[in-house]
Amino acid sequence: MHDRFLQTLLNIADVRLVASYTDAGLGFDANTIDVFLPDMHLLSDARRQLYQYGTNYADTLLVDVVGALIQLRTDAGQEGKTVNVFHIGDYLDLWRECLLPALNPGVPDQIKASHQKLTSLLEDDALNTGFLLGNHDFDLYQFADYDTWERRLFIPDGAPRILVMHGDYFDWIERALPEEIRDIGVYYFGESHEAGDALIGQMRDLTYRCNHPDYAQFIQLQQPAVLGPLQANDEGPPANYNLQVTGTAPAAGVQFLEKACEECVNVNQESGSKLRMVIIGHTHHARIATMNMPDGTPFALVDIGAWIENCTEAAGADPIPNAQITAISENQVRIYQLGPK
Amino acid sequence: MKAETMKIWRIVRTVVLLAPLAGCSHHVLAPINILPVPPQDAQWEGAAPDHIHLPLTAEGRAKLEEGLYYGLNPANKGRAAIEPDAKTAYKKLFDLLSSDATLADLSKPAFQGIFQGDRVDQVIDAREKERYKSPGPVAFRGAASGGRYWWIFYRDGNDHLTAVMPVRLQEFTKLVEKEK
Repeated sequence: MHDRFLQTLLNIADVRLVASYTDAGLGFDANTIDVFLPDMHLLSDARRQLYQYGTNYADTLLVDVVGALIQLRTDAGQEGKTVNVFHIGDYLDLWRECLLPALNPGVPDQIKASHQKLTSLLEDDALNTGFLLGNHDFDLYQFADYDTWERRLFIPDGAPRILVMHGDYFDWIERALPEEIRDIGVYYFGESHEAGDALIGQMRDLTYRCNHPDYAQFIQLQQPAVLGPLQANDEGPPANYNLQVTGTAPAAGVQFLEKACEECVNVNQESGSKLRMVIIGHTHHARIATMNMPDGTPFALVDIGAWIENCTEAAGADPIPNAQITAISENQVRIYQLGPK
Repeated sequence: MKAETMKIWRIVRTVVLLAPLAGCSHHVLAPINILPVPPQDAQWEGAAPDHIHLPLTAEGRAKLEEGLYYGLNPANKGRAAIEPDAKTAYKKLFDLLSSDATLADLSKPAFQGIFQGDRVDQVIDAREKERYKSPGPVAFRGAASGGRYWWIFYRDGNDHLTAVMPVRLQEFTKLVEKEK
């Protein structure tokens, strides 16, 4: 399915590889591909005027990508193959839309009215997108249309090895007391826990505490995220490419890696789970960071980037609008950077 | 932009003041004593009532475990697990429901810790063609899910539990705004 997915992208976009990673223990066969869409931070047209940056539509590319995913999923489904699509948070930017906790259920529609084509495709039943809540759209949980959107999930179905979350949890760890985080961490990494109202309230408090009052110039990236060399497609993606490792990678490349690994090690020991990868968005910095768990099991933190703000191949090089998409199939993860064809 | 920034800071100060009210789940609520069965993406039965019979059989137990595994959202089937170890989280409840029980039994020590104490005596299910004949179903908020799931129990005229349906609901009681 990787080849098929890549060809789908090549039909509509310039495609370059940001990173790839292979782990035989991920539990993905060749008949299934999971596709991940990152932060978009959609705003109404009126609010968009107040900011220096916006969603990187890249002309029609973002819409074309989602449209192509629907077609791929439909065609693959007829052949007995599976395409799962996830958006892992900060889809709508309620925080920048309102500058207050969003108590009005009309706010999401207010934003979507300025992105009708994109949002109608992303929320189409034919795509069956699994949505997670981020920190900028956390307040969606209280509205009836969104109250089944999750904060985290486990894949693949049947034998989970990967935790998928937005990633703002790791900001909370840095800014909050351990006691405030403990129950939240148990929920995120524990396979036998749900988030009830009290926990949702705690997460909401931390979200508000960590969100800034002024995002006029940037959200996450004051400077473009340095991704490293992007590989052109003509050679075919290698099994492993551009992996960030502590000791050789810059600090931004391995941010949150050790904490994510530690959390998985702890929960695996306590409950017998077999987590070996965490997928996040939130930072707007696409990368794959790796290390080994104490027992030698490989662990990876996959950060799927964004469709807002910018990246670059090297510090000081020309900025490139973030436009990343990530896919897992056949036990391999690939992050692609897209551009107009 | 400076005026905008000033406005933002005033708003932030207001948010900070309101945060203790907004963030705590134990805010003052006006209770509503009716539980509406939610749509299909928050219960496992689907478009028509298809309750799990009690006492719980192996088949019924497997259905419940599957539903909870997927967070009671059928769209997750084949896509992702929400509570991969639901089998462990709800073992005690399922073991208890495998024996004959009455509604009164749900308040006894054996069921201690299973429910959070919230109980709703009126359940509305838009899928049903008629209102329930007395005695109607009763809903209890579950503890294992942190209160996110409610368990609706159906009973016969002798108060014996005949069926169960878990549903997933956000806090549905209405927030009462306090005078500042």
